[in-house]
Amino acid sequence: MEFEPKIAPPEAEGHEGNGTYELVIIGGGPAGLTAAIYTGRARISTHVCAGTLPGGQPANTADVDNFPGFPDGVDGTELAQRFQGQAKRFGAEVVPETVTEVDFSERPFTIRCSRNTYRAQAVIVATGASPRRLGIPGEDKFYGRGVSSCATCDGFFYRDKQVVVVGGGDAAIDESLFLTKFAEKVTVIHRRDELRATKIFRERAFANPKIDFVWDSVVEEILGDQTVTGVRVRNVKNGETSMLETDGVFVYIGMVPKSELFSGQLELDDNGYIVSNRRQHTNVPGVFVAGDVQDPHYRQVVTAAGTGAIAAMEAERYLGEYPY
Amino acid sequence: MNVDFVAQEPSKPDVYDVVIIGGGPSGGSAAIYTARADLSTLVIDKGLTAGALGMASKIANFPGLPDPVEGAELVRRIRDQARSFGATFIDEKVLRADLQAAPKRVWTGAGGHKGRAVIIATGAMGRTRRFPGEDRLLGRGVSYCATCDGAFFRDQAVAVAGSNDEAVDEALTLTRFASEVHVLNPVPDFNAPEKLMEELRGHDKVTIHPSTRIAEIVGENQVTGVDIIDQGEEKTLEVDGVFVYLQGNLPITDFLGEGVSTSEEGCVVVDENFQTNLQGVFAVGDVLCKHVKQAVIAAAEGVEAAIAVDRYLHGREEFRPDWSR
Repeated sequence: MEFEPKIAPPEAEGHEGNGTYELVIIGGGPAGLTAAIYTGRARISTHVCAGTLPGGQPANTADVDNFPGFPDGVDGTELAQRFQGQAKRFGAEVVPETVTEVDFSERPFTIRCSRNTYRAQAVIVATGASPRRLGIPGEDKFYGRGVSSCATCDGFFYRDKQVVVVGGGDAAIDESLFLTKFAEKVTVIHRRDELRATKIFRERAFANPKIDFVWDSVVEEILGDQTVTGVRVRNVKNGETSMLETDGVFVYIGMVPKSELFSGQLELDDNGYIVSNRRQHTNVPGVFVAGDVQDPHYRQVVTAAGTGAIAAMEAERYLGEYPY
Repeated sequence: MNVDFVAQEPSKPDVYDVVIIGGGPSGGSAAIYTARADLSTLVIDKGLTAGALGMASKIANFPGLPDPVEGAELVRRIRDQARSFGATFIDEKVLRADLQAAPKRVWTGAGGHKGRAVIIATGAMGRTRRFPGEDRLLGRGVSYCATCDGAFFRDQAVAVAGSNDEAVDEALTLTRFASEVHVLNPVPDFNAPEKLMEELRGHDKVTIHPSTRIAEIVGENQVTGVDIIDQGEEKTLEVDGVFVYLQGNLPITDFLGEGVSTSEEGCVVVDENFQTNLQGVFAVGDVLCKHVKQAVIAAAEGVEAAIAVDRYLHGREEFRPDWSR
């Protein structure tokens, strides 16, 4: 087909959009926006479907102090805005719209949003993942300021404080062990009477004097006025409710990669993560992937950004090798 | 988070949890994560402008920094961040290492350091070619370390080849011993902090030779001089020592010694967690060769290795996160 880059009007303005681009990026977190910085700068016509809340997970984080280059730390919302401004300045369009359907069976690929439909010669999927939430009162209120799902990110803030960890798998116990480096006491609350975590984690956790366990129990409410002060715990066997004082709650009941949209079109692993090689290729030539939707391991802003940069450079190479 | 935190005084343990060799974007970012994970962290680096990023004039594609920054400024920011979490930085050059020992050992001109884990992040600015006479006279007047060998040149004349802050710093070190220091800069300008440059220019023992290349290092059993091409003109400087701090594009692995697997091209070989064939020895950044040279990718690698180091040190390296089951 004849390829003509065309600027599609943003969905927010209510126009009928029908843009064709060299590249569409699905997802507006650190991975997607870093990719857009690179492809925009390489003068590839780039459209970013950034979702309804552009910025991704850091946008919900009060203070990001481990993103390299910011010795004084940076507010998560500000960091997200910086990514976005930089991508736009290099010519990428960043639009807050949600993708509802994709067709990767032929080039150009089709990306449908509620209002607009885009066609692209290459796609980068960077939809991210979300920590599974408890869905209890107080969780939303304190998310990012006392309730966390990342000890690597936030453990540091709990030096000599008391924390609660919810969960009993590898992640919960690994992060509990990590938290003992900072916290005075770590209380693991688990809904069963045994840990599902692998043996080495169990042994280490049981041997660690800083870790206590509350078995057969679920957290029903996170309490506090300005900051988290405690949790309400219910024993699932006898129904008894009790209060536990704590300064922070770490929730490890699983991550959910946002990959439903691609099921049947891209190869997913058993946990729903998109399968890619180290160069961020998916099983479909021309479709690349970056960030947490392909990463169960690291989940850091800078590691997501790194994969975004790699995906962008691979997309650029692909567009050069397979002209349309 | 509204939690007050006062950075702890960097302690100086006998054995560090991790020694990071190279403080560019990958080594510096690794240090942010290891120090923040409460691992005692030592970073050994040759200087702010000694690496590829430090030399870069403007970086516009590092995410989060929409206004272009100088490479050296980005490196400085990353290092300040690592320091704020307790990492210790020293300006030295690693000359030798024993990475099979426990703890692992690295030696600089100033002494030895021990680490339970090591991250190699030395980059790929090693020199591609040697000058005629250089190899033959190595240790006989040719040196790469003024801190180590400067004292041998008391009241003698020496030449220093290079243009970055490492070269300038080493030239200034040599002024404490030598009677004359000739700085041979292959390009017209230096890439070094103005403060160092002022000191260099103002020093009465120092003669700066801009746009000057070395043709040959001469001497029978000991260096007696160096043939130079000074802005097109060939001449010989009579010196007793030649200190070389020039750069190229080879991975810097010459200090590694026995044990660490490298490819035919001299690149360090790692597994998916950036661990080399030696347990507890990791490598990231340009020293791996296969990578495009982008600061954000190097930083991401440093962070992944840092997380792997933490797991290694806590016997958790067999961990396979399984978040969604």
